[in-house]
Amino acid sequence: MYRVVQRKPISNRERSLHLLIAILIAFVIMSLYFLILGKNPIFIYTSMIKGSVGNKFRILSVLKLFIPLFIGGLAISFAFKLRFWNIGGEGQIIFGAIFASFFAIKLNHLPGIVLLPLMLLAGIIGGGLYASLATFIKVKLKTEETIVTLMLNYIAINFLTYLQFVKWTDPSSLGFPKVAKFSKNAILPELFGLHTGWIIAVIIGGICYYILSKSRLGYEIEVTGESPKTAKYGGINQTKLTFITVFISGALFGIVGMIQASGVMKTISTQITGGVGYTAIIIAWLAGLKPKNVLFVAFAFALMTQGGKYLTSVEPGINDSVIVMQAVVLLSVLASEFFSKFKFEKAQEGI
Amino acid sequence: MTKQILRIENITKKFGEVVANDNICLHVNKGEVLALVGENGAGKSTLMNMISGIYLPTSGNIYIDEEKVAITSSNKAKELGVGMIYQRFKLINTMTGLQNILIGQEKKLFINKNNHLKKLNELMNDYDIHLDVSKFVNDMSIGEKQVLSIIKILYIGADLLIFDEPTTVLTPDETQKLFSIINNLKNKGKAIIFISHKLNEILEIADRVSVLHRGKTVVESEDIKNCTAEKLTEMMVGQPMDLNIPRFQPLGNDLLLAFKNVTVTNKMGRKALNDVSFELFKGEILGVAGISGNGQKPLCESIVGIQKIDSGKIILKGQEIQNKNVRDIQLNFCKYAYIPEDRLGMGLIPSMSLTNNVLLREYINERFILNKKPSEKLTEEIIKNFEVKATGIDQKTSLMSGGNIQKLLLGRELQNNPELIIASYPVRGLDIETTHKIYDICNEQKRKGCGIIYVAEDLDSLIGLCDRILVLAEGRISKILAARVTSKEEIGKYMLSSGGDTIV
Repeated sequence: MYRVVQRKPISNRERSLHLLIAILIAFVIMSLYFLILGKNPIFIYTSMIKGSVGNKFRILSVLKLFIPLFIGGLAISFAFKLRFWNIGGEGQIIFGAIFASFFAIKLNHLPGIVLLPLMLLAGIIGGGLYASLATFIKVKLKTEETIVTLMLNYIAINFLTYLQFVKWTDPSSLGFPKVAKFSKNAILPELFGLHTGWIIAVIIGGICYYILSKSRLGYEIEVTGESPKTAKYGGINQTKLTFITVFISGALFGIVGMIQASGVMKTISTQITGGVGYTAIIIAWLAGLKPKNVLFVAFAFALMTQGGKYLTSVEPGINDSVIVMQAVVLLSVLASEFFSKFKFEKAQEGI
Repeated sequence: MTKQILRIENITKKFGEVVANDNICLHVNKGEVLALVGENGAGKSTLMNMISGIYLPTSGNIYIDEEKVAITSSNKAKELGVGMIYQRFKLINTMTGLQNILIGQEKKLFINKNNHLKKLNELMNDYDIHLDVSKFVNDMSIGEKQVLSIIKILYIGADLLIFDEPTTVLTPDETQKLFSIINNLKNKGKAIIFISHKLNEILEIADRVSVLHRGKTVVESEDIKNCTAEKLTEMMVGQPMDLNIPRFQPLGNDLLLAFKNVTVTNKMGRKALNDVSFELFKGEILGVAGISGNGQKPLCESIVGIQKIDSGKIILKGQEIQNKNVRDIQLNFCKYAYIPEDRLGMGLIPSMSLTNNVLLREYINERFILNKKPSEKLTEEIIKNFEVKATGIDQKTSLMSGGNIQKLLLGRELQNNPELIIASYPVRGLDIETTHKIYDICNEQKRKGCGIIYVAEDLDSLIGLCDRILVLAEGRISKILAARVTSKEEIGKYMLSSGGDTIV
């Protein structure tokens, strides 16, 4: 007879090994799956690799996918460390994008050097304030933030739909409901073939790492998240801390909105989020809310997504299999976490 | 011939490299009480967890009724007749006593309650236990909850009952009731393991004693029928020890802290503190006695700003501090040390490292980026001075034993020469040596002019250590007694009465 026993905390190296094994197992399972479907798994994997890192263009596409996932993962890490369950990433991205787009549309006569920072600041404020709305409701009315942030997503998407279909519709689009393309000075310039959102992402990554692991604010966030009573005991002003932290979380999503509008879509539409607000939750969770890990996990997600996109173009009828693959990898990684924390121990049978 | 209910032979338990139990032997006979004692982290909990099926031994044998057994799960332990009464009762508050007893009893859709009730009443009569099992656990006193836990275990059919420091939460009166139940159990042939740090209780109730020290058995099931407190201490500590608590005269009458008609209403609308007024002088230890939950917590918390008060004044060093926030008081009014009641829930962050826990008090003067160096140094000092058993300053706090966690907290709070110490049950769960070390620290701080509010349940130590004892009952001060001339009985009397006038 076997029983489950908690194991001693394992080293980072062991944990990485567990992760590697988990990913290998996931690919073994997927190979069986593809074999049953009558496809050659080797071909599928090589096309995915080719599709994600095969040439410069594809690598750039991976990085383009990576930027919002990375910043989004960081945004979630802030809120979740405080145990504030911010499910409202989608809404905060949208409001960041709306605020940024407002300046892109209304002040398009300004030179890029002024307009772009202004848009970035607007994105920060838009996302941050929209998230603060949930904090405010939580603090004042003691509501559950999961529900409130989730519902704010729907309000945001509907508000954006209104803008796209009514207020900001491009008159020259012949009745087609879309917002006009931004003028050149409102579009993030490219550097090394990639929109400069990557520079923003690098800077933000560094700052977030410092705040969460080295700063007073990061420490207070962790103490309060782990033990609100101890935080009270230690004199931490939890209301203020919640406002600051959730604002940062929303602001980071707002930056995602600005980058996606200005750098990728070059306009704003209801497709702006691409589900990043939700995917970021999975990424941050898998990364254990640690900025360094968020980097790797977000990159892995971007690789898989881009590989999958390419795969569907060379191997038609496999769209859903890509999603299955992502799910299997995810589940394996989550299962490996169990084996890192627990082990099976053989019970001695005396009788 | 006496029958052995439990025998443990050469049990060893390793957690990785750490040997928690090293070749432990002990046995308990039918109809006797074995006291199990040992300093914090000596391995008592590990051993009991193996008997109750939580852990499996690395090597060694357990015999129950002379038969070798493998206790692979807590259900198996139940089957074998082993029952444990935990310090924190494992009861469901929103259910009645009867429902709690019947949980997990029968795996049927419908349960015949009357049938069970009849059997239960017979059982209670047998052991001369009285409890209204139709009462909700929520409405029960701590003593009643404990009795309920005992009945529950007996009803399952336990022959070996393990009590883990059962008296720490009880009043003297409730303790006596518990002891009479234990004696009944004993006479009916049950075997009992009694874990405790309190000498007089062990002498009163136990027949034999086993002592663990650093995971090893140092005294194995020795008869203590004719033992004295001194001799028992020697067995426990390994050397003779002075059990008297030294007491020094208070320094004078420099006022440090005053409560003036303080009233606090809790969430339920009840008065948690009701018109409380008292004074604390520099260089004085003011004891706070009372059944737990009678206002001790709001009293302590209102001083440090955690608890807001409805009316009255709190004056610290001549300045009003009521309803100021915690950080304000820390930075601008007074350097204080606060040892809260629930040390893991409040005061420490179990999932963080030792250093990061020490940082909680150190970081408040830092600006943006934290400098952890001073805290690291301080943590090392605390480990040394307070003999905290840890693998290092980066160890996760929750992985230490309860007593060591307590020492870490005490160390952090007392390291930086506070002017005021608020200690809520600071020695709860600590072994004799550490307990006396805490008393020494209190006395040392007192002589430096520090004012101390000392909340405790052990009346002997209150009488021995404090200058005055404030007795709380239902949020009121029922009496402030001079410790040098009072008695346990007198304090006990005031603990049960609210409002000093009703005492005859």
